Amino acid sequence: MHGFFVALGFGLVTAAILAFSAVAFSLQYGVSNHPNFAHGELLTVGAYAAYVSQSLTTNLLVGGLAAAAAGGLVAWGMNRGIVEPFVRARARSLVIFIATIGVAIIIQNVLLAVFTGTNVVYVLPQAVPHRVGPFLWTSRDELIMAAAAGTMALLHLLLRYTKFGKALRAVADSRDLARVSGIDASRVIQLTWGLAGLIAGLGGFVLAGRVGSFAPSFGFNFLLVTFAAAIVGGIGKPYGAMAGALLVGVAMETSAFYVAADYKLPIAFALLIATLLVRPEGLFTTRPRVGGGAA
Amino acid sequence: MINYLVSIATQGVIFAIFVLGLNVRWGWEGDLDIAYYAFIAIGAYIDAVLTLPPAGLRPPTEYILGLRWPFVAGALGAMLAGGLLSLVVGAIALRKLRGDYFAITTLATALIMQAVISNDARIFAGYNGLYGLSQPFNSVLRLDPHVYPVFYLAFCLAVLIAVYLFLERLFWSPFGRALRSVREDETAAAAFGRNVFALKLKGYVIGGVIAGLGGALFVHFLGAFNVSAWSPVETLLLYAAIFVGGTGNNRGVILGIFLVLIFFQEVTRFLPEIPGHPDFGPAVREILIGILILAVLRWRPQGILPEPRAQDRDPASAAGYAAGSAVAGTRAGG
Repeated sequence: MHGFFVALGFGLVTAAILAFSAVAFSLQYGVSNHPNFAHGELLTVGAYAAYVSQSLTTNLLVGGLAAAAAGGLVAWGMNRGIVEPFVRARARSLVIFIATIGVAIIIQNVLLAVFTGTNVVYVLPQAVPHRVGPFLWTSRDELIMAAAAGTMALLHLLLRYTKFGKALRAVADSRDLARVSGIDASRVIQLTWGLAGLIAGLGGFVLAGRVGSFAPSFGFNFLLVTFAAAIVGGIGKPYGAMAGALLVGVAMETSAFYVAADYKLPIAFALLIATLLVRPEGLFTTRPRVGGGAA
Repeated sequence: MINYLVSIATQGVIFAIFVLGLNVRWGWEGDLDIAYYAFIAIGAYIDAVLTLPPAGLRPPTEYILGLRWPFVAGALGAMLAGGLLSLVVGAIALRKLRGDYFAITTLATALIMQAVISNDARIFAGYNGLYGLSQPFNSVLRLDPHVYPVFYLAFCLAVLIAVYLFLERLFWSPFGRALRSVREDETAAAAFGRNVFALKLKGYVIGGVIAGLGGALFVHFLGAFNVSAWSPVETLLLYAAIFVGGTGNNRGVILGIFLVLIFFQEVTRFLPEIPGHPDFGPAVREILIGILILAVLRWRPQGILPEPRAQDRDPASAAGYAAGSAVAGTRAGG
């Protein structure tokens, strides 16, 4: 049983990291209605921005801010520069999806051309595992979980109690109804891309800090796990994505206790496929979202 | 120099077969399959294990079968494997999922397959990959090593022409028209009594069979095959060719793959070599693929040779028509 709890503890850390990525993806998809295949690159950009900031200072807060700012900026630009022109040209939604695949490849390879494919590492304080109840965590793990909880709480306050949050939820529910109520939907969509980028960039920093070293393809490798958590939680539902992250993260790490660790990712993908087939609206939604499920 | 050109040309011809299969899926059917390369890979693997000698003779590699079948049987096995895999994936994913979820599912499926193949080395030798493939027909022909590549190029070209002619017939057949009507508007097609799922599944399987055939030709061209070759970028290159050449148009996508391959062959020649940075050239190549895809989709989504429309051909239909003559290269579509 002891080993199981250690694995469960790892699962909670993975879930915390996954929450950043999945919530950001779900938020952006829910509001703009276009899945962003270049979402993984927002994590990568965040991770590299923090890496660059470390040449000035190894302060973790600065690293986190640099990562979030870079992610937010790139996401905002991606929408303005690529997605919006395609939407204006009335491109089919699958064509826009392919365009984001193109963007993913471009960003990944620009990073490859600039930083080379060599793995890079952060300068981080020593992380010694210690027991917390039945779990085995390092202080870094605890920091990651605290950061995730803090970010999710802030996001909750933003969505619930600010005017922007209200507008965002309105646009996600129905863009047309939001427009006729006087909400500037395209501005809300732009800001949501930026917000999602902030969270994803920070998620990239946290993920890179956890795995230790990273290369230009690292965010892309995390993309399908993100899809899995976001879809299991129900696309466009930030709270569902948090629950999905918890489920997928814990399932991945505890399964590694029973089967070979190499099957961690396939287990997340199998969850993804199973959810799409059985309950495409997500496990944690009470009513199917209009247009959000299978066609 | 000649060897080099023959090798490039053979690769182009094989890629043209790949792209024709993908064009059925994306161009005709409208289903975005980002894991098409997995079907090529499965064809390559199955052909390899059917034609290679038993694994027991070549320790320490391990793989299934090892039947020493002739190439033609191996290629048929590859087509069957590509078709069966398509049937399974398609039956699951095409029934329920709308476009973007379908695309994500194909990618997840491919990554699961990749994980299984790399971790369970007993099936296809895992990361070691399969190597030492025979030269098709050469046990009978016994050609000179300088002449054989030319023969193989001619053979691949013959296969390409056969696949092309088959698909051209299919394009104008009732099945082809019905499939494209599903792409344009599923609801309308269903209202006219079309079984949308069955049509899409058939198209998907045809694409998979062609991918398997291409995979068989490819693995004998390369002489070896490895799971690390499964890069999503290769699928993206095929998409770039389809967009450039003309989505849905058989002739267009063949033109597209040759243009794209020649373009990258030429461009990479002028790239500076940066010492200690071996990834620079490949990175620039992939950036260019990305930019090319974005630019074509944005400014000429129909490609160089747009898909021929029914009316391009209809004026002649009352009086019968000269085969294909009214079809080629019309720019009326879009």
